Amino acid sequence: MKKYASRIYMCIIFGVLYIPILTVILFSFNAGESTAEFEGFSFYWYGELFRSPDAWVALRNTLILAVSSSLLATVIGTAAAEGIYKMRSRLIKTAVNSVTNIPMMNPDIVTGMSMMLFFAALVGILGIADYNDIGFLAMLISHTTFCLPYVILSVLPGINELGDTLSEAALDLGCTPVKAFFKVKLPNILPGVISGMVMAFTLSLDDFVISYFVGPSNFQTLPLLIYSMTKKTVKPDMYALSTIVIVAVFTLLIISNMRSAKKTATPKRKGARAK
Amino acid sequence: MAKLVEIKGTSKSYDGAKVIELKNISKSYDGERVLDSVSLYIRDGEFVTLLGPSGCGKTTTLRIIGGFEMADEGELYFGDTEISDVPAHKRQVNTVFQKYALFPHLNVYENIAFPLRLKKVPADTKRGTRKLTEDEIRDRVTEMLAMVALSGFENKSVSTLSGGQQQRVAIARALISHPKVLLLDEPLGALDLKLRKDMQNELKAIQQAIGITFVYVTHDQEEALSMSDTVVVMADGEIQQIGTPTDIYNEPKNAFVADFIGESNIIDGIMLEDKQVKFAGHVFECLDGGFDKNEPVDVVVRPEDVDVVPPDKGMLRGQVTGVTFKGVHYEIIVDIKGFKWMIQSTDYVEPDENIGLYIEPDAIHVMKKSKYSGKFGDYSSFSDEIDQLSNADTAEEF
Repeated sequence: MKKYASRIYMCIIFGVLYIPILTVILFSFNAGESTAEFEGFSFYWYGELFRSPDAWVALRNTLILAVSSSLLATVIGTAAAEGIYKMRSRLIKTAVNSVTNIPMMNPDIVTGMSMMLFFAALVGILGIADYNDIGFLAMLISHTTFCLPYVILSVLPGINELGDTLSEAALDLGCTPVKAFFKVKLPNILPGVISGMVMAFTLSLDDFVISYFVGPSNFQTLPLLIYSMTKKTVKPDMYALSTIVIVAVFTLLIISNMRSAKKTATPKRKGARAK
Repeated sequence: MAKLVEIKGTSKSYDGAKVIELKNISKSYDGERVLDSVSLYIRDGEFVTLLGPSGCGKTTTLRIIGGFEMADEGELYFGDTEISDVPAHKRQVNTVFQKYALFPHLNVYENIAFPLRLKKVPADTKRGTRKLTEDEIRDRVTEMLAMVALSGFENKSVSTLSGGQQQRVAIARALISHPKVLLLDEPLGALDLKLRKDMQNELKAIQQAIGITFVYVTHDQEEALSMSDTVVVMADGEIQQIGTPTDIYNEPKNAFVADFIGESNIIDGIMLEDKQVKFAGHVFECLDGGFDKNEPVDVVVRPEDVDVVPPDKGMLRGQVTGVTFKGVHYEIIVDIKGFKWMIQSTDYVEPDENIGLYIEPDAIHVMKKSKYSGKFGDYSSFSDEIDQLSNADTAEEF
């Protein structure tokens, strides 16, 4: 009886979570224009979507931004995690850790607004005539900033677990500190680095709030496009667009989860553990 | 309190040049002094063991030689060159780490080849240096694998190897670039007893075959005595004694060394005059001299050097309070005027029996009083378990 109840409970939870998403996916294949009545299966709205030049441009922009900001965040974040690990003073370490977590704790709307104010001030100080000139740069900096703590959070446990022994062994055998990092440390913390990068990519991909504040008029991303479409009439081509975003994010999530599942499934290495 | 210590005549003579020299090395962590003015030199081809309990500074000393820690004070020489500030990757010493530190992302072959791939050798042409070719690397790795008896393991992942095999890979990797000195940080600590004995022999054989200097860190006194040419006993960040294993065992310098190496009865005594020492209420003949008249001293008598005799023939008399069978001998605890002695004898005695003890002059070793005097009591609370606990090294040690 108890088992039965728990199953029903689980079904309800999953229903609440996923039925709205499934509805969007279902209606993106609707043959008619209604958002309430399913009139038959068709790819019409996908075709419609990709006939509109706005969607293509937004897709391209989103991908460019997501790839570049996640790569940048991964490089900076990994370097930052290594730097935090190497800090000797516990006090400074804790302080730096808390500061890097601020963009994550902060409500997006606050981050977005402060970013907007910052770039507006920058435009004034530097005497840039048109905000659109630095629009992409502003977006890149904003997205990298809010992705950074997630990368650090994903990389740091691996570095802590690895400890100093392997790096010391590499130095001992003749590596310069830089070589030791790339030849020995990086390959061994790579799972954390990759999952940090995937996380950063998905976060950048579906960010709306910060992009809404910072985004220039000449650089529209998919979430911004979807939002602007809802302001006019709601048409199923928007559902199609949402479906594409959902599928993309889901695929990445599954890949990254499968990687970490594989990692935990393999038995712990004897020799590699830190003291 | 600088101590420039001379290595006494070792069993084999090492007239080889000094290869490593530490001069007044000190090191503190968070205000706590872990090394206090340590001076020591190591000769070419020597097998030197740094021996001491957890936290005595032996691993820190090794890490300073390896370049992983920098000394706060003092100088470190490699041959005639000062290397105090030279980073680890530029030193011609290699290390076998406590937990092997093999690279899990590389297979056995690549682990051993790792140092070779970084190496630059003089080129035949005038272009300066070149990297080793794949053929040269393969030859040397194959040779190394044969030496550590791991031929055929080239493509195995290091995580599938047993502890002993990982150990061999670590040794091969550390030796392949022909370092002048090999540092070993408790390399056998993670192995079981049987394997540890085998690896002790093997390490000694490798050291003798290639003739390079080994600096070995351990807390296991038996390991130190059986493998080393020279043993350096450390405690509280200071060197207590340097000597051959025989010297260290037979002529410990102070109560700490006597207690740490082997079993010993350490009794307060008074040196009446040269070759006459009084302890436990009896005047004994001994072989030691050079003390002041009536100087208080510590006297060491090893349990195996005491003979059990009938009470009327003994120099000392006491009551047996415990007998334990140890296989080769009985371990007998005897109460003599409130001090519990340990005696190892092949003869069985009954508990509560009154026995006499007879001690030959050469079984008595007299030491000057030190800060360790009186710290090591008798065997009244003796048990194997406590002894092992106090000797066991913890992983927290630096």
